[in-house]
Order: sequence, then structure tokens, then C-alpha cells
Amino acid sequence: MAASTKQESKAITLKGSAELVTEFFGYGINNILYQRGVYPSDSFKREQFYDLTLFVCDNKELQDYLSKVLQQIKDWLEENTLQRIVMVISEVDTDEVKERWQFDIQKETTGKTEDNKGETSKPPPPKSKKDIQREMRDVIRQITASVTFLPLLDGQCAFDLLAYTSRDQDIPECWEESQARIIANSQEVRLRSFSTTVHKVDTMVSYKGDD
Amino acid sequence: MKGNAVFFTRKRDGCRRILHTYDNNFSSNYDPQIHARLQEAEARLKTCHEHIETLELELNQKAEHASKERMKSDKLEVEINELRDKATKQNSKQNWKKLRAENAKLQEQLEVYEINKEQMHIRGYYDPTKTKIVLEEGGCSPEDVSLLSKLSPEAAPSVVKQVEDFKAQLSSAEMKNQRLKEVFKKKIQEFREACYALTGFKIDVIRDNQYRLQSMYAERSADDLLFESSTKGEMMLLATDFSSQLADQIETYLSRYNSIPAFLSSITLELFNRQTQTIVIKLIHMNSTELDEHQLAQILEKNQRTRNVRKIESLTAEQKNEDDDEITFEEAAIFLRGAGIIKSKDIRYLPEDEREKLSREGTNQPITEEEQKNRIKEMTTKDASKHPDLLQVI
Amino acid sequence: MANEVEIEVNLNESGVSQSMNSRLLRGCIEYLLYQRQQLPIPYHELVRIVEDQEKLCDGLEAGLIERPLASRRSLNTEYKKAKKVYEDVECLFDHINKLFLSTIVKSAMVLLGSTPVSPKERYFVKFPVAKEVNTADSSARVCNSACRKLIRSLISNQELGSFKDISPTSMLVFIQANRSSDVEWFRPKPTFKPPHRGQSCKITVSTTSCSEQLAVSDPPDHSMDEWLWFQAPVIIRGTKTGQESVSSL
Repeated sequence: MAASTKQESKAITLKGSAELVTEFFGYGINNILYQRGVYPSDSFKREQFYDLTLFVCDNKELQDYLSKVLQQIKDWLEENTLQRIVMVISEVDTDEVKERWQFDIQKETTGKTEDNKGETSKPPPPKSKKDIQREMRDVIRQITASVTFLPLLDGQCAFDLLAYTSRDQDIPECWEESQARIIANSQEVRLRSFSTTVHKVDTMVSYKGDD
Repeated sequence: MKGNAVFFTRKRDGCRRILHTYDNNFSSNYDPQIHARLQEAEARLKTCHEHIETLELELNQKAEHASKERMKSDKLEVEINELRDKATKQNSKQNWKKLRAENAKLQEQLEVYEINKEQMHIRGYYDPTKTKIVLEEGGCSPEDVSLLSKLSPEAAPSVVKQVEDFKAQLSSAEMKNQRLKEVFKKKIQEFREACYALTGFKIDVIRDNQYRLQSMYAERSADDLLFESSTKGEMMLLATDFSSQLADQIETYLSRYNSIPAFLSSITLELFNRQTQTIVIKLIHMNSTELDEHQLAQILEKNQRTRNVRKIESLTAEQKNEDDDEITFEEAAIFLRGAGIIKSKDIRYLPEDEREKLSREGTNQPITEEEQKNRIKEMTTKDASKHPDLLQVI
Repeated sequence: MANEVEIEVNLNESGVSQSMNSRLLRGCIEYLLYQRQQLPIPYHELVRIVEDQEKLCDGLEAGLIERPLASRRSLNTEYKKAKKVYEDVECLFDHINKLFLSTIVKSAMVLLGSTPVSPKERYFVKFPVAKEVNTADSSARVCNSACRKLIRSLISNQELGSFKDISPTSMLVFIQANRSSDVEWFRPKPTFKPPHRGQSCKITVSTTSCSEQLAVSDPPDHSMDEWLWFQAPVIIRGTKTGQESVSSL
């Protein structure tokens, strides 16, 4: 975080942006796990962030897994090769996908990138870290409020994190290719977006309708 | 028509020429015959003229008609062209309309496609030529979040130990429980046996607050008494087949004196007495010829409840057995004599028919006390004075 | 008036019932409390926390559970605030339920801001017309399904999402019912006029059965006098939980 804090008054760097976006994913995923009851609610601790009370799971195994995946996500964000992150929630017994939380990542054309000389591209309108985090907070709020309309997940559920990368992206050994795990006859809701001026992230959810 | 006109004109000219020749040739020498021919020719010529004129008129008429027709056709042609123009215009307009409709439809489809594209996008579809989906192999599943593994690793050993402790405690408690059960069972059995020995009644609990009593001296295993304790703790006698035979005792001890112990005692005494007699009767009824003294002793041992047999010192074990081994009357008598219980002169041999009757009654139906007494008196002793015990019974 | 966001929600339910409308209003209030930054956690979480705490306190009082005094003290201020919101909202919901069961409510208005004259935000909810008060109650499933549809429409509305941030303030609730109806608890406000300031959102709820009749039954101006605004005598005050206290909440 230190790197981006220094940059706060100036335009955000690719690295700083990757860091913020990764952090958002961390809170977002933990929040979904809590709100959707994938992990028992007593395994969560409350944390104050983005002016919100957020829930972070203190299950060690989960946090080890998340930090591993998030580190990889951050690397890909810095390489600008990550197109999308999908959190798939499926029922353990039937393996049926119940919800798909999709985060689309776009490179902002106006964004200043470190490897780009940047002479031709205009500097992005300045956006403070606080502004960016406020946008992120609004998305998190929407995710949280979505519980009100999403159907109840009554069976024991598990989750997976899918990363959509460029076709020619080299992937580390411990990663493997996966299906998209799309829900048949789903209902979809597009939530809000946020932008760091380097990355733009759109959030949406598709879920198995209950009627 | 024109051809005709020319033809006639030529013919006319030809005729004229011929006439001239004739004129030239024959003017000088006028010949009436020729003149006639001339006139005839002239008439013919006139006819020809007339014909030509008609034909010319006709021709003109036809020409006029033709030009009219041509005009008409020109007009029609114009009209046709006009119509054709119109038609093509209309056609293109229709086409245009059709195209426009098609265009709108396509536009709509495009919109639907756009919406679908958006929907497909949200649903997670992607372009596999540009994108691939990857996930971390290990994954993470909340299934592992069972109660035990949810505890931190530091806490886990102590929990495991605790679980083991509890298990050990549980098994020792179970063992203790088992031992206690065994002890209780043994003690209860002892107690029951003691009760049986002391009171002469075997008491079973059938269900909550219902007790079944069976006398040591019962004649049949089915002869039992049922008691039920009320909520106040009062014991009530319930009807059984056996109790229905005890009207007297019930009347005397229960109804009048309200004493169950006295009632039971009277039954004990009654059955005890009856059994003593029964044994004797049984001995007398026996009809098998194969029995030695040893076998008889066994039977008597089994039936040692009779006072008579108690005198045989070797037969004291406490046993109850309903089995009726068979011995002959003679042998029984011999045994009894040998044992010094009954002297031969005390035994009166019944006539065959009477014996059969007794045998039938003895096995099939209960004999009333009075009858029994009479019969035994009859068949046993004449000189009772030497056997006061036996006589007492009889 | 600043440009108003209009949201139309068709519930696709055949029947309209007062219990459903009541559920929708409550759903709306819960949504606004969290989504418009009046609470740092969704209302249902707040309920859970308060109820858990109550149980814990009962346990403490009964001497069943021991807990260090220090952590109890740190709970106090934040917990009290949360509990106040919980009590106020529960009280309001309770009366909303009673109100909808006793009379026809045409519409409701939720204001965010310190005064009803110049609120920062204004939410006008127009309910589908129930023919009678005693329309058979909809099942809980139908009510929940309707509420889900409404919240979904609110959440996915981009314009509503672009409302400016707002700091914790007061929430005032008004309902519009017939002048002659027997309204308890809510106070009649004959002079109240919906304010024209601030960000505004109009939510029109309709159902398949009433969408046609809506236009017809919309009361003409002269009958507007029949309808009177009533204000809930409870004001819900938003809270922004302090940094350190929440973690112990």
C-alpha cells in the first residue's frame, strides 16, 4: 500500500492500481463468502474498511488459498493480461452452479501505464485513492445488498475462483484450465463499476432463478 | 389493294391501246362489227374504271382506317409506357417498404443480439480464441470447516486429548454400569429365590405395577395369580383361570378380612395339602410295568414336596417338576412298602374299572377335595393308627 | 426540482394485498438505510448483532457466561447506538404493519435529511392499488418474491446508483392515506407538501392485474383532498460506526 500512498496526489500507477484492485477482490470475495453463508458466520471477523464494516474469514486454510490466488491476480493485473475474475458458488452435493459473481477488468485507455512512454496519451483526470476507494465501497455495498434479492442457498456450498486471461498467457504450474461453469437459464443483474483510471472493473452477478 | 389498282390501270391502258390500234386500223374501213366490239370494249373499260374507283375509295378508306389504328396503337403504346413506368415505380416503392421493414427487423434482431450479447457476457460466455479460463488447482472448500478443524492448530491437541479423556471416562462409566447391572441382577435373583423359598411364591413383574404369583405347589404352570397395585399402593387381585377356582378363599380372606398374606397362605396350605394327596394318587395311577426302585426314588425326589416322601431322608433337594414319570401301581406299592411308608396290608387294591375311572379323572379334570379324600381313604389304609402322618393327610 | 429518477417495477403478481405493500415499504426502508449510507452494515446484520448481544447479556446477567469487563465497556457506546436504531426501526415496522392492515395506503415517502422541508433525498413509493383493506393476505413467499423484485430493480438502476454520497442523517417516513381512515400512531400532517429539493426518486410499483386499472383509478385532482399525509413519530438516525468500536461489536 505504501507505494500507492506516496502517489496519492499524483496519477495512480499501474502497480498501485493493481494493488487497489487486488485489495478490492480480497474484501469482495470475503464479503460474498459471508453474505452467502458459504463459510459459517462465526468464522468471520469484522473489519473496518472503506467506511464500512466488512467481514473477513479467519479460517486459515481459506486465507492461505486466497492470498495465493490474489497474489497471482495482482501479477496478472500488473501485466494487464487479466480480463475477468469469476467467483463461482456451487452446491457441494450436486456440484450445480448457483451463483456466478463476475468482475470484468478493462484497461482504461486514458490510463497511464508504466511501460508505455505515455507521450501521446493524455494524463487521466486525477482521482485520489480515497475517491477510488469510495467507488469500490459502493460496489461492495451493492454486493452486500444483493443478498436481499438473491435466492437462498440452502445446501452446503463451495466456491471457486476462475481467472479469464489472454489465450496465450503462460500460467503457473499450480493453475489449470477450467470450464466457464455457466448457469443455464440464469437471471442476471449488473452492478456498479469502479475505475482506478488504470483499471476499470465491472461487477455483475448471474444466479439460478428460484421461479 | 394497290396491286389491284395498278393491275386494272394497266389493263385499262392496254385496252385503250388496243382501241387506238383498232381506230387507226379500222377507221378507214369502218366495220359495224368492229364498232360493236369497240363499244363493248368501252363498256368494259367503263366497268373497269368504276371498279378501279371503288377500289381506290376502298383503299383510301382502308388507309384512313390504318392511320387511325396506328394512332390508336401509338396512344396505347404511350399508355403502356406510362403504365410500365408507374408499375416499376410502384414496384420499387414496395421493395423499398419491404426493405425498410426488413431493415427494422434486422435492427431489432441486432438489438436483441446486443442484449443477448450483454446477457451472454454477464452469464460468463467468452471468446475462446482470445481468452482462456484458469483456476488454482488446489481450491479451497468450506467442507473442511468441520467443528474440529475450525479450531486453531494450537487448540487442536488439547481438544483431541479432551476427547480421549472423555472417551476413557465414558468407557469406565460404561464398565461400572455393566458391573452394577450384573451385581443387581445377581442380587435380585438371590432375593427372588429367597422370597420363593420363604413365602413359597415366585413373583414376576409382568408390566408396571402388575405382579404374577406362582405357588411353589401349583399343580399346573398355568395356575397363577395376578395382582395389580393401584396408584395408592393398594394391591388388587385380578381374575385368572386359577383365581376363579378360589372363590371361597377370596371371600374369606380378601373380602372379609382384606388380608392378602392370609389369602396367599391359605392357598399355599391348600395346594401343599393337595399335592401330598396328588402324589399318592399319581403313584397309584401309574400303569407302566417298567420301573425300578431307583427310578421311583428319582420321581419321588422330584416330587419331594409330599410329606410322605420327606420321610425318605435322601430326597430333600428343593425341586419342582411337573413331569409325571410312570410306574406301576404294584411297584409304587412295593417302593412305598420298602421305604416303610405304607405297609402292604394298608393298601387296598381297587377293582380294575374303578382304577380306570380314577385314572381318567386324575389326569383330565381336577378332583374335588371331598372326592379325593374319599377315594384315598378307600384305596389306602385300613389300619391308620400305625401311620399317623399319612392318616393325617387322608 | 432536480431531475427525478423514475423507477417502475412490475411485480407480475396477480393479486395485490396490503401485507405485500407493507413488506415492500419495509424492504425499501431497509435498503435505503444501508445503501444510502445510514448504516455501516445491512439492517439484518444489525438485527443479528443486537440479538446476539442481548442473548449474551442475558447470559451475563444470569451468570452463565463470564466475560472480561474491559470488552464489555468498549461495546457500550456503539452498541447503544446500534440498539437505538434497532429499536426505532422495529417500532416503525411494527406500526407500518398495523397501518397497512387497517387502511389503504396509497403511497409513502421516505426522506433523508434533517428537515422534511429541505431533505437531501426524497423517495416516493407509489403502491399498487389494493381494492379493499381486507384483501386476502399474500403468502410470505409471494411477499418475499415481490420484495426481491423491487430491491433488484433498485440495485440495478444505474441512475439511482449515481446519487451523490450522503452522510448519516435522519430518516423521516410519511405515508399517504385517506383522510377518513382510522390511522393510529402516525400523525396527520395536513399542511405537508412533498418537498422539491434534493435528489429525488419515484418508485411506482404495479402488478399485472392493476397496471390497466391504475390509470383509471388514479384519483383526479379534486379528490386529492381525500388523501392526507401522515408522519411516523419516530425518526431513525443514521450512524457511522467509529473505527475501533465496530470490530468489537
